[in-house]
Amino acid sequence: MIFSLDAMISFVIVLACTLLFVFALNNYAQRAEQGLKDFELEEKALLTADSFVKNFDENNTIRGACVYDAEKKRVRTNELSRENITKAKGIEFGNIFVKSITFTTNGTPETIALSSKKSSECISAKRFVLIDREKAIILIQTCREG
Amino acid sequence: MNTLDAVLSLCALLSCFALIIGAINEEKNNVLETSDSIKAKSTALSCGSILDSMFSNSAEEYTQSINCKTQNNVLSSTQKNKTKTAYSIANTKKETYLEVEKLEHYR
Repeated sequence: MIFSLDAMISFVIVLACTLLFVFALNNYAQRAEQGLKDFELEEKALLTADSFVKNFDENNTIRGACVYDAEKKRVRTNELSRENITKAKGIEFGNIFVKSITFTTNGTPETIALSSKKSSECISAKRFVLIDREKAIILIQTCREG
Repeated sequence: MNTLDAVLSLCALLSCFALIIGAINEEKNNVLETSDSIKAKSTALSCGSILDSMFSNSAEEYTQSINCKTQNNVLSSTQKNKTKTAYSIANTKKETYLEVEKLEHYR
C-alpha cells in the first residue's frame, strides 16, 4: 500500500512537471509569434513614414509625397507639398493599414483620414519635414485591423 | 497481496510513462511546426523589410540570396511544409530575387 501511494505521488509530480514544461513551451511560442506581429507593425509604420518623406509616387502619394525637382530630375527629400499630402490614398499590407496622416504647421494640426476601418493596435511615426517650405511635424498612424 | 500491489503499481507507472512520452512527443512535433512557421514568417518579414528599405532609399536590387518568392507586393517564404506571407510597400519586378519597381523620376 505504501509503495502504491509513493508511486502515485511520484506520477503526480512527474505529470505536474511535464505540464509546466508544456506551458512554458507554449508561452515561448506565443511570445515569439506576438514579437513577430509587433515587429511587422513597427516595421510597416516606420518604413511607410520613411518612404513618405523620401520618395515621390504620383499614383499614390502615401508611398512618397516629396516635391519633385524637374530640373535636377530628383525628389527633394524631407520637403513635401500640401497638395501631395492631401492626394494620399489608403494603403494596406494584409491586416495592417495606414489610418491617418496628421501634419502640424505653425502650431495648427490638420488630419487626413485614410481609412475608417476598426483598429486594435496603432503605431505613429513622427517626422520633421518642410511642407511648402515651412517647418512642420508629420505623424503617420499605422494600425492593425480588429 | 503485496506482490499484486507492486505489479499493479508497476503497470500504472509504465502506463503513465507511455502517456508522458506520447504527450512530450506530440508537444515536440507542435514545437517543431511552430518553429518552422516562425522561421517562415521571419524570413518573409526580412524580405519585406529589405524591399521596403530599398524602396524608401531609392535602391533597386538586392543581390544576396534569400529564400523568398515575390509577387507584386506579396512575399512568401516556405520552411518544410509551412508557408507564410508578408507584404511590402513597393511592388517587385522579379519572382526569384529581390528587385523593386523604379519610380518614374529615377529612370
